Amino acid sequence: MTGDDLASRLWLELSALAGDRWPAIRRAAAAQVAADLLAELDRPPPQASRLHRDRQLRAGQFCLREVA
Amino acid sequence: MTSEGETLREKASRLMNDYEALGLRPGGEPAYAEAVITYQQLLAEHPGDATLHREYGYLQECHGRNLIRAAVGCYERTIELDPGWDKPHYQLTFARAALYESELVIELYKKRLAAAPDQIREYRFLANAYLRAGALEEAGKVIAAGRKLEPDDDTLLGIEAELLDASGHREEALAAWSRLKDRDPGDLSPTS
Repeated sequence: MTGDDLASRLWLELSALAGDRWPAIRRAAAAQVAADLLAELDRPPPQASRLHRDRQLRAGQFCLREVA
Repeated sequence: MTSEGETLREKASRLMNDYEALGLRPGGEPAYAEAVITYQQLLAEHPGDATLHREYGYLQECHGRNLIRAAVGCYERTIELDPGWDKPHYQLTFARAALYESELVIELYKKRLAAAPDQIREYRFLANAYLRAGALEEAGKVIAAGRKLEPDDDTLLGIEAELLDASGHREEALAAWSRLKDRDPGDLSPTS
């Protein structure tokens, strides 16, 4: 059984236990998951990663200009 | 039409400049169409002229980019008209990536996710936007977060398979695609 399979089963059991309250619980959990994710995505990347991204961006912009 | 005293080369150059300046705005397409005819005529007369080939190539490149930009407008309109349809979102992301404008769709789908955090499709869209931008680490984070809500989501698994492939993990990518195939042998496209 993979980690995903296990998570899937836990999720199912939790939803069965929660009954009518499940949609509200799921919404609250989702709001927290998304908030954590977006905060992590907005965090400045490490220097090496930032350099790589800047290089990619410059390469992309360069492609849009005609070579003189 | 060639202006008085204008050579064919000068005409081609003028039309190219007009098209480059106008693009999708009125007058752009007629300038492009006339430039194509002019360059084809010039190339027929001078098939070994490298400068002409380069200029004609650039003309077509500009046209291709403008057509992709027009496609972006069509996908955005499709999404306005049919907000529940997923496919145009993936096409929009692909077209923006071709224009090196992935940052725009990443920002769009981050905002959408913030507004609808319990919708699994928003995680799919954002993960796909990062993947097409080549931001593999971020794509992986979005997939992992989406999994917390829907551990069995086929589309996220499909995006993860592409992510693994792009990261050089071929065997793991094949295993993910194999799992998808086992779940639905008839479905060849997770984004349809």
